[in-house]
Amino acid sequence: MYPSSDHIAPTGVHHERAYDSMEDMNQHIINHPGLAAACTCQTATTGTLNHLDTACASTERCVTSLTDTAALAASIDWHGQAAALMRDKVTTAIRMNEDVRQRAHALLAIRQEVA
Amino acid sequence: MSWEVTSRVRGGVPLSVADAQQFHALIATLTDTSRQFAAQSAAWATLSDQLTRTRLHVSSCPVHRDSWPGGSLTAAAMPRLSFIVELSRACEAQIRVCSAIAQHMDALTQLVARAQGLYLDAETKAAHASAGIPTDPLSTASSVLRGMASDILRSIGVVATSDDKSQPLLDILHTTSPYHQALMRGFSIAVLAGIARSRAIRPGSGMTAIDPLHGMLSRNSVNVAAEHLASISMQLNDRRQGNRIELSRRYPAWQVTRQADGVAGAIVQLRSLAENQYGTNEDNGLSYATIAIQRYRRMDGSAAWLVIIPGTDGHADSPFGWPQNVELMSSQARTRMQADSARMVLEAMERSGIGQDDPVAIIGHSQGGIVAATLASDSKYNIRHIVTAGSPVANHPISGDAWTTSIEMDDELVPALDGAANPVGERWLTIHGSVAETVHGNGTGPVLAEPVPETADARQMSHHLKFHQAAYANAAALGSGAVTSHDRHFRQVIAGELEETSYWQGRMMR
Repeated sequence: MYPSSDHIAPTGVHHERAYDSMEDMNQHIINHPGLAAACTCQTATTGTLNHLDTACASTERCVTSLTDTAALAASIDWHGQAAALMRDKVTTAIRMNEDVRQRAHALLAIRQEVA
Repeated sequence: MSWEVTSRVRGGVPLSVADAQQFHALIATLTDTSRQFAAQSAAWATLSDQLTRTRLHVSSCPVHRDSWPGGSLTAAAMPRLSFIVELSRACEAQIRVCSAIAQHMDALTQLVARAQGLYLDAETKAAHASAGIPTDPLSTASSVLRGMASDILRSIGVVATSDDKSQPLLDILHTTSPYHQALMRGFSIAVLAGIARSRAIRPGSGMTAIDPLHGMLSRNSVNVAAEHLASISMQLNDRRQGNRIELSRRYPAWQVTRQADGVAGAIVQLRSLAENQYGTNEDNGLSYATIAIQRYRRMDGSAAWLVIIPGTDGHADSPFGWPQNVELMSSQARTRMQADSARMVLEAMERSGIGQDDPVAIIGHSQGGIVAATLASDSKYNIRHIVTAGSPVANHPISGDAWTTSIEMDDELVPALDGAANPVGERWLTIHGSVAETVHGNGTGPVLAEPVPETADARQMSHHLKFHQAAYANAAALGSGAVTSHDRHFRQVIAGELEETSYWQGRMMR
């Protein structure tokens, strides 16, 4: 289903209609030249920004999880190749997550411009 | 194509309560972290879906077009659209990285669990349950499962001929590995049932007084069945091979075995002897049915010994033939000790000068391991530690003073011929090795696997010693306290300098 369009007719009556295609929407507007166009993307954009906030919050929670994991891995009485590999992989995961976190922060900064 | 082995550890010195709690906490934290990253990946994926819808909305929004309908986007709309595009790209990267981290945490969870022997019993039961094959031995005697058992046992022909060409049978072995023990128990019960029926028809028949009906219900039904079979096969084999062992000391052109540095080093020496006794391009003077006995001189001047025993060779005049396996698996000590291979090793130990109180370690592959278990159960010698590779020894009544380190590959069948899992205890450590194709590049393989050298593209018989060698190497790399303590005990038994190695060859004579 094509995105719906909120149209405000000259009479002030608010119509909401879902279109089957871009052509269908265009044809409807051509057939009703009196209809004043309204913004159709603000709601979707707001939804996007909300989802971005959710994803970024999730990023911060993962930082805490990884920090706890690293602390436990460092303190446990386990030695040898496997133990060293485990601690190394946790350290690598922390670095990878830092990239995720930096990327998320950069997106949040741009978010302000389009909100 | 290359192959690798991952190992799981069972038994040995148990974790202290405090250590077990710590490892459980680590596993819980790793699991939780994996879930968090999976959730984060899902959140970015949801955002990505939302962006697709938003992009459509922005592109079609009449407010953001210069002319309506179908005009191009206004300048005011461009920042919004470019943000969406940038966000889309970032989402892909976030999803990829978060998924990778989640997978790393899952792999580390598996690593910790198998290194510390945690959850292994639960996994084993789950494997049996999901396979739908009940471990109740009486129910494994159904005709369908007998058919499956015969497919598996046909593969023993692969073991006997040392021929790696039978790929379908090797694949069957690999796929059915969780069922081997249960099927062997069912098979042994079927054998005992047949023996019981024949006795009912002809009372007084059979060469042994052991009650087959009682054996059907016991944990070591395979060994009871072996006793019944051996009571007949032993006499037949004696007529074929003769019952006299000609034992001769051999002097190879160069030293085939060297000082054993712990369990890993002993496996190297076992493999060297096994591969050299069949001859190489250069004749070193060794042939089949040859064992090695090493004498070590300890700091206090006393002697310690390492006996190295390869497996079945199947030669017509060899004490290490196929029928001797059945005798060694018997539930009766007398029958086990009468097996030609056991008698040969005992005579070699005596002629080497091993004193009854001298500490002795034995390492054996396949039948060699069963001989080791037999001597540790039934002989007069002070056997302190045995290492078995690919040997069915779960039901041998090994002396309480002896430590046992068993290495078994999941799909090699032979260790499952005892129809039971090895006992779990401080003095019995079992290393289970699992063979898989090496996964390259995409990071989804197990963390820390040991490559198997000299492998072909096709699956090979994992009863070969190189697999046990890789399994032990992987177990040692896991850093488990159980493996470390067993290795330390083994080293303590043969602590000292290697003083002399003698090689003993046996032949059956009439």
